Amino acid sequence: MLAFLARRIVWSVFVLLAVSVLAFMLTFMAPADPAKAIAGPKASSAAVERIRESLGLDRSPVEQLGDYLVGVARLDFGTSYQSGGLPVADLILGKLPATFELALSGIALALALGLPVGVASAGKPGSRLDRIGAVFSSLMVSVPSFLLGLVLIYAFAFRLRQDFGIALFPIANTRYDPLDLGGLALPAITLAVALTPFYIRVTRTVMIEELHSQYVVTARAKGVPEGRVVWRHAFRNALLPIVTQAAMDLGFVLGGVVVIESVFSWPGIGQLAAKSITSEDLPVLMGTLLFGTFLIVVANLVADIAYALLDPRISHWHE
Amino acid sequence: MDRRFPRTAALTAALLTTTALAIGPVAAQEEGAPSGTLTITFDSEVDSLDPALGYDFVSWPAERLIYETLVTYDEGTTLVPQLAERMPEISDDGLTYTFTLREGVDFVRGGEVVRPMTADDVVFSLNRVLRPDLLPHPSPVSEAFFASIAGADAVIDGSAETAEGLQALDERTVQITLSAPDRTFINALATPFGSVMPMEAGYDATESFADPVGTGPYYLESYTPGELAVFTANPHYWGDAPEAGTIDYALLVPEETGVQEAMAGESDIDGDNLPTPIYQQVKDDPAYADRLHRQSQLSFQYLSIDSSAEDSPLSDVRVRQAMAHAIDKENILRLAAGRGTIANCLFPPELPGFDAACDPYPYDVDRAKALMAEAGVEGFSTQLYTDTSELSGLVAESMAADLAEIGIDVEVITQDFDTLLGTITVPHQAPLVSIGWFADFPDPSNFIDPILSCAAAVEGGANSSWWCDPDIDTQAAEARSIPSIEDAIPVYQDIQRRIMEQVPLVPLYNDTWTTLTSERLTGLDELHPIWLWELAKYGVDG
Amino acid sequence: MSGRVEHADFLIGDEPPGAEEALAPTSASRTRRSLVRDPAFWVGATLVTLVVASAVFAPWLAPHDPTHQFRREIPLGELSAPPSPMFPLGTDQLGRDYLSQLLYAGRATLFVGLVANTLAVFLGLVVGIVAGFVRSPRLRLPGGLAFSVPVESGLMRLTDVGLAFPALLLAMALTSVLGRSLELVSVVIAAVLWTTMARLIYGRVLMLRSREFVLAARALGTGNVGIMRRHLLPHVLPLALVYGSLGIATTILFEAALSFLGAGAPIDSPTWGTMLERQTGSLTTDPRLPLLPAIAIFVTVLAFNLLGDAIRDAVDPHTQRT
Repeated sequence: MLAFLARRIVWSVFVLLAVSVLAFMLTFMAPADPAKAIAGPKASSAAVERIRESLGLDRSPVEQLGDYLVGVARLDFGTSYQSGGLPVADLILGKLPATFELALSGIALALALGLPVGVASAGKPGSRLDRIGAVFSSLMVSVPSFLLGLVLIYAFAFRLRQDFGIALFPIANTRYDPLDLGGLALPAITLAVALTPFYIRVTRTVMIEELHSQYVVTARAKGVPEGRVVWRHAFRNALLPIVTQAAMDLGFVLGGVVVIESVFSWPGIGQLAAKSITSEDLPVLMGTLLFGTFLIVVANLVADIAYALLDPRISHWHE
Repeated sequence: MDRRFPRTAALTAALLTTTALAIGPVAAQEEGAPSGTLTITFDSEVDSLDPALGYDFVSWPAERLIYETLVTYDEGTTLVPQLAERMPEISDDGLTYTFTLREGVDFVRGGEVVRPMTADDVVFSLNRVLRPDLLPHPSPVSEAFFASIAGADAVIDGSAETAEGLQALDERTVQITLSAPDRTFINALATPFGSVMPMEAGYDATESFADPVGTGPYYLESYTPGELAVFTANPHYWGDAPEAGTIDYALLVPEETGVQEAMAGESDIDGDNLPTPIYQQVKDDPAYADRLHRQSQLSFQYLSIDSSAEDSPLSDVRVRQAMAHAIDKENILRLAAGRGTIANCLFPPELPGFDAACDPYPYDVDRAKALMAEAGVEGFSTQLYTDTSELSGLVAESMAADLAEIGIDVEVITQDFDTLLGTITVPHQAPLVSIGWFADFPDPSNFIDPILSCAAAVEGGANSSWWCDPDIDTQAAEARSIPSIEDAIPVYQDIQRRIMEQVPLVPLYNDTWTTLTSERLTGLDELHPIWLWELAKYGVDG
Repeated sequence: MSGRVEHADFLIGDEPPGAEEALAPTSASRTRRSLVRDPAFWVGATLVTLVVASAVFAPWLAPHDPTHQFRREIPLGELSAPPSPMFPLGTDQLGRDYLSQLLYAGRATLFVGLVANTLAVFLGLVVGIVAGFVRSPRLRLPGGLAFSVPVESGLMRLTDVGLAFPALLLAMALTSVLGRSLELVSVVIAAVLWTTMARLIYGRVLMLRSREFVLAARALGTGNVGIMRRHLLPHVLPLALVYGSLGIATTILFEAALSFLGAGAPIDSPTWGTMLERQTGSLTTDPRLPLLPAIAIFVTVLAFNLLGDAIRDAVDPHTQRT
């Protein structure tokens, strides 16, 4: 067990390293000149050169990569080219709570919607309820989240305010306030819509297996009421893979709900990442890429450990 | 000792204190102290609050809240003294400027006085813009604005710590000596790059960004990157107290949402130019009539043509003239919802030196075709680069269709503005560029030197036409030293005509900036031609 | 939100015990029967046919040249022309017929979806089969030195790294490096999404490698490549096809998201995603402009999802609905 853990951790570190190098190479191949972008359209070429020198952008790629990796080892991710040179680590950590709250709410909503539908569908596979759930699921999966976001903003934040004076939902989130549920509502709903179909599917699949397993057959034979069979037994055992899925999702979602944060101008990491790409803010870009990767790697690690601990054979989950 | 005395005294003291506390704020309000919170929203982030670095329309108004310059503009384009007591004395040879500083000006940090401003601070601040060791990187405008100061080169290349042309004669007197007469120098001093900081500010812009110390009507209360900067009225300000008690600078608010917030009155000023579709909708709506403010700008949108690319048809002046005749500028203006005026030459209407008679290339497709035939060019392919904004894309496609009519097949390539800057400053990388130029100050030289001089036609420079005419260059350099602008205007108009004969670029239109404000905003009659907003003069009702 | 698919499917690919029998390929007739009974299949198939047909026959269906700018037809003072007999869906700001634009943009969108998806499936198939089957072959060098080539670990590690990148960010970064072109966008999307398919196929091959037919083929002396090509491939192909068809929906959505964030196709070859990107600003003033391409995306993605789901339910016994 420990050996497995150690191997996975070592591998994860390697993955992070590989990602750093690849991302760095990417930024190097970019046609843009960050020194020029910083200097602005009116700087003289001599000024651009000086800026390039002072930022160390004229050194060889290998040298720059080396310096960057050394910095990363010390948890120093450089400073942003914008915002007056704020440390990237601070920027990212500062935006983390906002993305975290959005991620948590979105996943919670998706679970709240997906679990019951999944369980109900699993209870009667092939029934009308099941089919409706499937269609619903397909609809949700097909809607691009940015489109849904735009429509929600237009309908609830704009029109509701314009025509009825109901200012429940802000049009934009300029300040992150963890207690501002009105501002959280629309983006969380949009995220939930994107995630729900998968929870429905996972729940349904796992529940179907549980409901066909030996102990359920036994319980039914013993006359245990169906409701208890479904919820107290099957569902509890199904919960583990579902929760693992959700935990992994947290990793992904944190890694970058880029689109949703952009549409709602939610001041989180996704928005930071998107802006860093368009504004050629390379340190921030690298930082957010690495951070997203880190989260995904950690999430995978946790999932692998969970599965290893609990033995791949599902039958062993319940004594 | 009377036992009751302490109690009575205490009671009386309490009564008096309470009364004082009650009256105090009321008294202050009656005096018209700054009150209320004014909110302005922007789509982008603040570049930097450090005056040596900040160089966009988001950073400048913020810097102008905290910092001040020796001279500034009045409601128009006339220079008036600010931190200087009066306009400087200029020597006869135009080389020496002597400023007497105002008394009673204090540096303020977090609302507390630090110390009075002195001449040494002015010298320090100007040197700072020249210093190559400024962190995180040196100022982008060291040469562009302040190269004319004697000894500036030495500072820029690191061989000197201070410029010999910057001297503090005494506590209140600053003397600046130029190496050559430069009429525009005093305009440069009026830009935020000429802001006065205390000597203790040092050479690390990150620190000064986080903890700015200035003389202005506001001080920085807090800054959350990418979200909000809060400015509070400076209680120790030397001049007229500002109107608003607090100014909230809301950042990274997308354009559309910024508009909606201003419409709903949730913010007071939409800091971004109104998006075209929304302008189209509100421009004739009486509900917004007095909340919509327009200002014709010192700028122009143009199509630059790589005129020195070898083996390219674009290097033939007749082809460029054909292109100028082929572009339908009416359609372009229509795409911008009519916000602006068609530009036939370089100088915009607001600029001293504007020549309404300059119109060498009216829209004439037949003439264009004739010129192409004359040049013996059947047709060719090329690329047009522009940024990713909606309007830029539309304008580019409109021009592409126009040029297709005369046989030029144009591929439109859009890049993010920052990327675009990097692309177009590499010589001959971008044959055609559709871009805008915004002047820094109201002087014709600012429309020629940065974008059409030989010095700018090098890697990293802004001359994306890669066009260089040494004769015109010399003429422009001489014109810059003419001390009075009235005398300089005829020279510049001649230069403009000569440049247009060679068509290194096709002027398209001059922008009109449009701002939407809330109903409760007070103090805004007209936008400022250079600064757009004068936030310190605006207040909020209620 | 790419990168999500593989985890739900990874779960499914992790067959529980008792599914051994279910691994036997279902008979073709049984598949067909369950397909025919599924209304989702019919809706999906019809919609897909309509969408594909409109793309294929766009040159005949479009009333005008989508690039022609009818400037004089735009009413004075307006930014675009509203729907009329001449322009069934109106025009855009440059006076180009919107219906024609939609039809031609549909071609580009489907092109990207198809190409990206096919590339991703192909790459995923190859990597998945090779990694799952070849594992770590021993290479014997002259002189007696032998070592195992860690093909499996190498390929799966590569997949790991690919999966670790936040896909959308990676795609945006790649586009900013490589520039915006229709072909490049397809390649970029494929490069980002192939790992999903690889993981899936790998998992399935692992399960198949110990089956009788493989052992029998070995006993007969068939080489590795032969086994992979003639025995494994037919078994994983259904899986690839099913998730491939679902993948078209994913790639189209991904392209739309990329375009929305400004990293999609170039301005000259519009897709529905770029049309949406350019017209978002008119949402409150002329909703027709952004909503039409958005609906097109939605309907197409829905169609492929319905179709793919129906096929998957019919073919993959694990999620059989009866």
